[in-house]
Amino acid sequence: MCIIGTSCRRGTSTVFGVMIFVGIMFTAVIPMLLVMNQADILYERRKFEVGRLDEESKYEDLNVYVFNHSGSSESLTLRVENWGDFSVNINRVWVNDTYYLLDDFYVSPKNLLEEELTGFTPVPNTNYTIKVTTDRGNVFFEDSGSIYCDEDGHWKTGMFAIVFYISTPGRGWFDIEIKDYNDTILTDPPFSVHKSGVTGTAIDFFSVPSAGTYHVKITNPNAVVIYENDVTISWPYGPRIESVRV
Amino acid sequence: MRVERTSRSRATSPVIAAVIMSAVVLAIGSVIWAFSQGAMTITAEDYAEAVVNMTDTICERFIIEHVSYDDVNYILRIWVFNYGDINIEVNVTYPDNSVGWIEVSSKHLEEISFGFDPGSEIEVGIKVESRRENDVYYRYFVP
Repeated sequence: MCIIGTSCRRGTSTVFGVMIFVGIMFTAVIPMLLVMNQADILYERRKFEVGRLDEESKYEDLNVYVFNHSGSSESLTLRVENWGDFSVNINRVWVNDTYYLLDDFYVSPKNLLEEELTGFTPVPNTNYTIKVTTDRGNVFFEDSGSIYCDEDGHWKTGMFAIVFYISTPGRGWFDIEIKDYNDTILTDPPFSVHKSGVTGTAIDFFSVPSAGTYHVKITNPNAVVIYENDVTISWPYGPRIESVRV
Repeated sequence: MRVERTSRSRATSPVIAAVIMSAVVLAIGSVIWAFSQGAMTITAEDYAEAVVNMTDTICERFIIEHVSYDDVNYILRIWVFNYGDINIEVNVTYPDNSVGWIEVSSKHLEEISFGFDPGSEIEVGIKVESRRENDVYYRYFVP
């Protein structure tokens, strides 16, 4: 008879015990694991999003130019060239310690945008440092450093130059000849760069009067022409300083 | 006869024992159930809260966008740009001093200014730290 048997009495409570255990599993442990898992998913998603934002921010690549067309106007033109792979939204432009908000200043990849900077009165004999801030938290300074307002209220920009990096084997004086578009030799007296070691790189620059195309010829110490080409400084559509590497 | 009497007299106590055993199992089980549910709920909430805090911490993004110094009134101005998606509270620390906690809303630029005498120093190290212990640094050369 089952009633008499000891094992049957244990069986009833075992069934209850199993039911309670299963109940605890389904009403407490599993929901807790689900909540934890959901939180982990949220964390991973946000981590991925900020990682992507950081990645996009890292690859923002802008050239910022500020120039004045007329030379005497109080307005400046801001040009932003986006060489990166993502659209860039410029939030603010700083002119020394004052900032101006820009609305809808989105620059598409491999594109440029211009904006007149008005609303400020330049103080004569003052240097102006200009920079822009993107909504991804990058700050880009104007490529030429600063722009100067002289005592007559005219804007002066920095110098134009060609920088030479000579790393071709050989040591001694490398003669450089630079002609402008009229075939006028600018390197008079002659301009030479000295490279002291067979390896390594010699660096020097030559200041040119304005933006434009210049014909550059480099001769090595053995009087062999190692470089002859046109170099164009396309300011304000490009940097003030171009480089030649041989 | 003896067998029948014995069997009949033993019939009551096993039933009572089974009922008592079941009642004890149910009672203890219910207590464990209630306790475990509470414990698991608290654990899950704590875990979720910790993860949300950690998420906020890794989502903070801010920079010191600009610094200027007013050498007439001896005021140092710092602009902090919060380009992240969450509001932050920041404290500016400069040599031997700090400003106090200031809230910077998401996508906003906040100007923080305070009296400052650089003395003979020409270079000032500025640190902006958030409540969630993220920080950024800026080296400013006093003009």
